[in-house]
Amino acid sequence: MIERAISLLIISSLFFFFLLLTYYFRHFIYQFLSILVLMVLQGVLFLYLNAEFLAAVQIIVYVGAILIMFLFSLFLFPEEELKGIKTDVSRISYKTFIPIGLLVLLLVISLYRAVPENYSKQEFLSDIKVIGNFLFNEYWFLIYLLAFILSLPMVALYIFFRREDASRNN
Amino acid sequence: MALGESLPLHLEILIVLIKIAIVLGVFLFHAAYTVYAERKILGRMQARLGPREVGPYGLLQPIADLVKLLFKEDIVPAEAHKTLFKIAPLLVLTFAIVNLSVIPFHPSFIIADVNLGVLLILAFAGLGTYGIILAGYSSGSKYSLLGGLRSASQILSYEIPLSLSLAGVILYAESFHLRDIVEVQVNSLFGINVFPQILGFIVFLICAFAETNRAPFDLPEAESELVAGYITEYSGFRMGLFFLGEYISMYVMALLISICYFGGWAFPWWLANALPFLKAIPPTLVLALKVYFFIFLFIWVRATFPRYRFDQLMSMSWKILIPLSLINFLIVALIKWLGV
Amino acid sequence: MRRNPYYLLFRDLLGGLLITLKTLFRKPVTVEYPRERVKVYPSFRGRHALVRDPETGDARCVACLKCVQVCPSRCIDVKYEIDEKTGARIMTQYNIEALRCIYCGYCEEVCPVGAIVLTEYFEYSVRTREEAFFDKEKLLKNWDEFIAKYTEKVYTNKFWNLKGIPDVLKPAPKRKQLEVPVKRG
Repeated sequence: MIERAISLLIISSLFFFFLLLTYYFRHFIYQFLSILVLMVLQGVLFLYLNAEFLAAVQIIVYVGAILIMFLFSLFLFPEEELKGIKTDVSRISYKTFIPIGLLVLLLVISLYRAVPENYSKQEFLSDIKVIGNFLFNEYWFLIYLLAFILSLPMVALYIFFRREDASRNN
Repeated sequence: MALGESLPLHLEILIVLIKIAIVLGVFLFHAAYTVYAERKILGRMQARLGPREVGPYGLLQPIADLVKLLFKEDIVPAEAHKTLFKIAPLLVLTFAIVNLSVIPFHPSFIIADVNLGVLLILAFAGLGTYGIILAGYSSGSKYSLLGGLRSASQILSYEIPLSLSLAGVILYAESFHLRDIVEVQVNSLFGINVFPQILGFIVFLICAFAETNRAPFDLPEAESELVAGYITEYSGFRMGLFFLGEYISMYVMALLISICYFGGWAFPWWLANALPFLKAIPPTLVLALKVYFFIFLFIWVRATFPRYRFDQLMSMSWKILIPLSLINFLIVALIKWLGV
Repeated sequence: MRRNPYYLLFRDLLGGLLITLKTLFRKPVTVEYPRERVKVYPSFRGRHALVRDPETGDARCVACLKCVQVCPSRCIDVKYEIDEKTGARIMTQYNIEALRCIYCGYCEEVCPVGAIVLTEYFEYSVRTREEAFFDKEKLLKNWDEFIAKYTEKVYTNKFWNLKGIPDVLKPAPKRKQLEVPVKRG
C-alpha cells in the first residue's frame, strides 16, 4: 500500500508542478507543452489505476492526435503574438487562494468526517480508486448537480454567440 | 518470465538491465551498420561503388562517421529556443528506442511483458512526433518549421490506416500481445497473416514507409524543397541522434511487419510440416532474416521511387489507404465469423 | 480520368524495382581515380603552354593579338615591342590567368603559327592564386614539362588546323600541316 501512496504523491506533485509551469511560462508554446505533459501524466494516472487500455488510448488520441492539431494552429501565429503572454506566478494575488483553500479544506474535512465505516481510513488517504468509489457511491447526486451547474455557462456562451451571429446577419 | 516470479527483486532488476543492455547494444550496432549497408546498396543500385576507403571494403565507415559527428562543432542558432532545441532529438531517439521494449525477439525474450504491446507502440509513435515537430519549431527557421509541420501532418494521417490495418491483426489474434499474435497466426489455417490480410499488409507497408519518413514519403526532409527539413539547423551529434532515431524506428517497423504478417520467429505449419529440418534453425535467426529482408526493401524502394507530392501524399492516406484498411478489417471479421 | 484496370497490378512499380535489382548485380562504372586513370585522348584541353620552337629555343608567338581578341573571358594579356629595323613585332610578355580561362580552345584555333596550345596535362591543382597565373617563362616551362613525357616524335594539335575550313580562308602558315618536332635532351 505504501508504494502506491508514494507513487500517487509523486504523480500528484508532478501534476501541481506542471500546473504551476503553465502559469510561469510567458511563451505560449511552452505553456502548451506543459499542458501536454499534464495530458501524459493523466495517462500515467490511468496506469496507476490499472486501466492500461485507457492510458494507451489517452496517449494515442489526446496526446498523439488532438494536441498536435492545437500545436499546429499555434505554429501559424507570428512569433511576437506568442511571446507576450503576461501570466506570472507573482502576478497572481495570494488573496485568490484564500477562498479556494478554505473551500478545499472544508471539502476535505467534511469528506473525511463523513467516511463510512466500511471504508478503511488509511486506504482512503492513499488510494485514489477508493476515493473514486466512495464519491461515486455516496455523492453521485451532488456530482451530477455540479456538472449540471457547470454546463450552464457553456449553454449561456452558446446562446450568446448565436445571438451575435443572428444580429450580424440582420 | 515464469522464472522471475521466484527471484528476489534486485536479481529481477539486474536481469532486466542485462536484457536492456543486450537489446540496446545489438540495435545500436545494427543502426550504425544499416547506414553502411544503405550507402553500399544505394551505390550499387546506381552502378556506383559506395564507401570503400575506410577499412576493408569500407567496413569501418560507420565508426569514422561517428567520430566525425562527435568532433563537429555543436551549433545552436541564435534564433532558436535553446531548451526545446536540445530536447527534441532526445525525444525522437527515446520514443524510437522505447518501442523495442515490448517486441519479443524470441518466444521467451521480451523486456517488458505487457499485454498491450501493439497499442504501446502506436502510443510511442504518436509521442515521437513531438520530437520532430518541436525540432522544426525550435530551430527558428522557416525551412525547419515547414519540415516539422509536414512531418507532423504526415505522421498523423498515416497513423490512422496503420492502426486500422493493425486492428485486423489484433482482431484475428484476439490479443494485443505480439507473442500471442505470432502463436495464433502460425497455428491458423493460412499459416501466416499475409494470405488472408494481403490488403492490410500492403496498407501497413506503405504506412511504415510514411511513418519512418523514408523515401518515397521523405517530404519532411525533401532536399530539393526544404534544404533538410527539420534537421536543417542541427549539426554534429544532435543530427546523428535524429538519424539514429530514424534507423531504429525503421527496425521497429520491420520487426512489426515480420511479426504481425509473416509469423515472426516461426515458420507457418504447412512449411514446417513439409520441410521438418527448418525447426532446427534458431527462432531469433528466422526473425532476423525476415527483418533484414524488410530493411533491404526499405533501401530498395528508396533507390527506386521518386518522391510524392504533398497533396498526393495526403489524398493517398485519406482516400485510398483508410478505405482499404477498413475493407481488410471487414474481411478479417468475415473470416472470424465463418470460424475458419 | 479513367485508368486502365491493369493499373492495379502495379506493373510499373514492380518493373522499376526490377531495374534497380538488376543494376545491383551489375559491374559499377566508377573509376577510382588516384589508383586507376581514364585514358586522356589527344586534343584534350588541359594546362596552357607556349610552344618552344626547337630551332630558336624561344616561343613561336608573333604578337598578332588574335588570341587576345578572340578570348571570351579575356584572360590573355600580350605586350610587344616593334623592332625598328624590320618593323616586326616582338612579343615581350604573355600572361594567362588560368583561373579565368574557360578552356574553350579559341586561342589555339585562331593562332596563325600554332604558338599557344592547351596540352593534355590536367593534374595541376595549385594552392595560391599566383601559382595559377602563367607568364611567359611559366608557359614555356609548361611546354617543356609536357613534352618530356610525350612519346611520339612529332606533336600536332587538332585545333591548330581544323578540318573543313577551305585553304583560302586560312593564314599562310596554316595551309600546310602545323607540326612541332619533339626534341629530347
